[in-house]
Amino acid sequence: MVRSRQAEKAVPKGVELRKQAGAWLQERRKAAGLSQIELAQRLGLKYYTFISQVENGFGRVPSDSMEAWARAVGVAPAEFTRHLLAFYEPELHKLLFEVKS
Amino acid sequence: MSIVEFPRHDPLSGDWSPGELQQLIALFRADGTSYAVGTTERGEPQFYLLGPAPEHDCVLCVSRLAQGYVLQDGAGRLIGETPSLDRFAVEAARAAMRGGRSLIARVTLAWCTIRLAIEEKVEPMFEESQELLVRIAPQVAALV
Repeated sequence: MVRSRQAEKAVPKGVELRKQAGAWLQERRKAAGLSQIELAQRLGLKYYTFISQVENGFGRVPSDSMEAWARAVGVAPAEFTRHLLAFYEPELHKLLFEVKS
Repeated sequence: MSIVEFPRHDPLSGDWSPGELQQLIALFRADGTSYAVGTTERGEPQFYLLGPAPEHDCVLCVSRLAQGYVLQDGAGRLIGETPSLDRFAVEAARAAMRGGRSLIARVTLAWCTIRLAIEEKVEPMFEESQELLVRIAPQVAALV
């Protein structure tokens, strides 16, 4: 659950995309039957608070954790990264995977 | 005989108290920043300090867990842990300065440290001076 001081203003696209990414990550984690604590343990994190931060849309999965995060939630790392790239770097994703030369 | 256990009440779980929230806002308030609050899956409150528009990237995240407060930067790196919000900024800033944290986080924390130092050290000095002035002013006035 999230409340923001800027809620009244129009939500910028980047913010909205991060929230969508967070919702997708939460969905994947739950589908894998993991709690935030269990996922944090699998990623070797001391606290699970970063999992919550990312799932609430206030952080990104760091690139050096993508593979471990993907494997922990049972998604192929390439597919996981490609999916997140659509939220985190939509223009890059478009160039790499959508624009046909 | 059967023993029924009362549900454990954790006084630290739940939302931020108005006092805590005010303290966090006072600590981290700076031009161009805004904040949001949320909760973990277990209901512990989180405070997100957001950077400038339009991206509003999370610069710092403060979480309150059963054992105390945890401060992480936007990338999830642990910056500090403390049982009390009062010593939070100073300890967090020290930790941040030791490591290669992001520039925004370091500047923000340095600012918090300065602000806290001003509040703790300089303001009481001014208050003392004002008190002294109030006491000696009538005597000085009598001499003039």
